[in-house]
Parts: sequence; structure tokens; C-alpha cells
Amino acid sequence: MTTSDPLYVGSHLNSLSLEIKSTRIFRRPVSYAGARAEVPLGADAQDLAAHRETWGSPILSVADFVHAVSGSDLTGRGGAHIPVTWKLDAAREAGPGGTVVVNGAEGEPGSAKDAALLQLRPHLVIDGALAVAEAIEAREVVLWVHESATATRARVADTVRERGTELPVSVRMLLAPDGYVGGEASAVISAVGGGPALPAHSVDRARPWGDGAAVLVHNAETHARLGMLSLGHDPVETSLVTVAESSAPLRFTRRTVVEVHRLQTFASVLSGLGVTPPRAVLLGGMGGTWVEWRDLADLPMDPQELRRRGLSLGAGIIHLLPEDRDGLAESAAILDRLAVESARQCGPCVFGLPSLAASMHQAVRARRGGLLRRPSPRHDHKVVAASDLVVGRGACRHPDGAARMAMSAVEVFGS
Amino acid sequence: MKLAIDPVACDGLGMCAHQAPDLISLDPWGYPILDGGDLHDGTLGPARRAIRACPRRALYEAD
Repeated sequence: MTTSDPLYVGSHLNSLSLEIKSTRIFRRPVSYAGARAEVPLGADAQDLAAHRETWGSPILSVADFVHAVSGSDLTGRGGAHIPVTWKLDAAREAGPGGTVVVNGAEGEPGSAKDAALLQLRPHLVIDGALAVAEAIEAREVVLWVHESATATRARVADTVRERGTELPVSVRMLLAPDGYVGGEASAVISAVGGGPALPAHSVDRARPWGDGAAVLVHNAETHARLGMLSLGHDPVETSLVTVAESSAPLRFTRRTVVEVHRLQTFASVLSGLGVTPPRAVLLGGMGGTWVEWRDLADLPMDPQELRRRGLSLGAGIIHLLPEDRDGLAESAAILDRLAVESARQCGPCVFGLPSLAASMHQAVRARRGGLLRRPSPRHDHKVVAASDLVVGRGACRHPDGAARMAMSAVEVFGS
Repeated sequence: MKLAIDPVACDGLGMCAHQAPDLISLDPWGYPILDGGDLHDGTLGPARRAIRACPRRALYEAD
């Protein structure tokens, strides 16, 4: 098995005679049927021997690793895309005795990349976490995995057993309650400290763990890419995304984890998977942004290029809206779900999200006729006003994501 | 200095808005919306009264 395969290249790139080579985590797309996150049949899971054969052993010293991270432009792959080097530096300043957390509790129903990584490339993720632990002189590594993710849990437990005595620090699995906000970094920090897995209000966003030893939380993909760095591979030319197909709002029929090069367009990725072009895409997950397919198709999956257009891959979810579905109704269903997923700690979220969802349902009803045959800007304005009421008013960014999604829905599907 | 709020601690009792109506308004459910401006001589007094008035200790001064 080689680690430098030429990537699938879209026709527009072929015509430019570009040859893209890059180190990839997955050789083939990984498909999950329905809502289950079981290891897919025929997927090439790497045990420790296969992992070492493919990736080699850690070769960088701590100083070289830290230098490689700061020179890599690597950003967090949990959704916020914060430069990894910022958090790493803050954790190093906090001194020894901290905790490294691998956040594998993806709460997005359309996402499967954490499951794919922890089931198929767990040793790569562990190598990343161990390199970070050494760099910040942490005393332990915590693997944060959803309670109900049985296949992932079993694989992670096997992986830790396989490493056995060669582990330089304690590595333990901690079970996250199911649901959306349990994967939020401040909720993870609270849980690691023995508290409830609920988001907390943090005064200093650069040091969310407070005054004591660092609790450095990174997403599973971020750790896999840190692992690649520590093993001497270049990690940042590709991203993992989940292409999520559904038969009804939030009823996913197939989620495909695919590794994309930053020069690949959305159209080339979908055609490579044999997926019918959608009407629109909800980019980044339930708290992401709606974009019409014609505006997205020819854009590259380059985080910086997307950011210039006010877009983000977020947690890497490409949620497809088929031609025959109503985007406002889809958004209303998602807002209902986000309202239910609130941790119910902050008033503006507890009361504001159901109100925002109600405003979207009103817009849907208005469109479906009755007295108002035509959708009216009045309903759009109500959605925008309800969104404004929740933005920036929670301890975590849960309400902000809901508002962002709602406002983009009005822009793309509104009157 | 600015007024800041811990939204987890806040229970929407609304005492703060009584003390500093020019700095704090209440949303439809009674939770405070801060105007977000820097505090100055004219607003520091009401701001501190609002902080003291909060039974949940949810309001504070931040940089």
C-alpha cells in the first residue's frame, strides 16, 4: 500500500493537465447506509501493523513537531477552523500536567467522518494525540466518544488495547452523552473535569480551560492530520467531507466520507461519487449555510477560497437538498431539531430557538397557499428578526449556527 | 470596560434592566440584551448598580 496515490481529478482539472499528488488518509470513499455508524463492509480498517506499514513510526522531535504544526496552516476540523498552532501554543504556555482530548462525538446527524476515522484509522488519530501530549507534556489522553456509537467504541477500545504497554501516557475513553452539544469544546472540558457534559460560559476564549492545566480539545480529523505531521507526512492539501443524502429532512439514506483535494470542485466530487446534482446544499451541517448548487458547483473545496465568499465547510458536511424538496420546509425541520438539541441552559436559546423554528414554519405555510398565494417578504423578515434575537447570546455557538442557517435559508429559498 | 453576561447563570429576572435601562433592554422572554458599548463616567454608575442588583451574579464587568 502506498501513501502517495494520485487523487481523483475532475475533468476541468484534467483539461489543465494538473497532476495532483497528496498523502491521503482514505484510499476510497467510505459509505455508511442510513443513520447507523457501523463499520462499512469491505472498508480497509488499519490495525497497528498495517498502520505502521503505511505511515511509518513517529520521527519528529517535539521541537520539530511544534515547528511543523506552526508552519502547516493546519486548522481545526471540528467546524470552527481555528489555527491549530494557536491552541497548541496556549496549552504549552499553561504548563505540564494537562489533558489532550480527541473529540470524536460528532453530533451532526449528517456527519460520519469521526466514525470513519476512529473505526478505520484509529492508530493515526492516536499517534496525533500522543504527539500533542508529548508537546504539551500532558499527563493523559482522553478519547471522547458518543455513548451510543457502539462500533466506534469497540474499535477504540481494541486500539488502546493493541497499543498496550507502549503508551507513554495514560489513554482512556470517556463516553459522551448522545446529542448535539456534547461535542462542543467547553462541554468536553467540563466533562473531562468530572462535571456535566454541558457548554460553559468561558471568559477567555483562547484559554477555555480556565486557570489550571490545559485541556486541549481537537476533533478526530485534526488529530489524524497532526498524526500525519508527526509521522513526517504533509497533511494539509486535503479535507475529509461527508456527502449526506437523505429521503426526507434529516432522514439520511447514505453518508459518504470522501477525502477531497482543495483544488477539486464540488461538482467533480459529486460526479466522482455518482451522485445526482442537488438543488441546493447546506454546507457545514445543521448550523451551516445554504447555497444554491449553481453557485457552488464550480467552487473548489479550498477552505480559504470558501471563506472569501463567506462560506465554510464547517465540520465537513455537504447536506444535499434534492430538486423535489422545499428548502424552507427542510430548514424548519432542522430548526425543530436544533431547538430540541439545546442544552437548555441559556434563556435566549431555550426560548429563542423554538420561536425561530416557528417563524420558519410560518414562512413554509405561507408559501403553501391559503390566503397568501405568494410567499411574502413579511415572513422572511420575521425569520431574520427571530435570528437576530439569538445570535451571540448563548454560552456556546449553538444558537448562532441556527440563526446562520435560518438567514441563509431565507436568502436562498425566500421570496 | 464593558458589561458582560454569563448566559448560563442568567435566569431572566430583569433586575438589571431596571437599574440601567439605557444600557440594558429585555428580549420578549425577559432576558437582557446589552448595548455592547464601552462604559464611561456617565454609564459606570448605572452599570455597577445593575451588576449589584443581579441575584444570580450573572452580570459582570469585562475588558
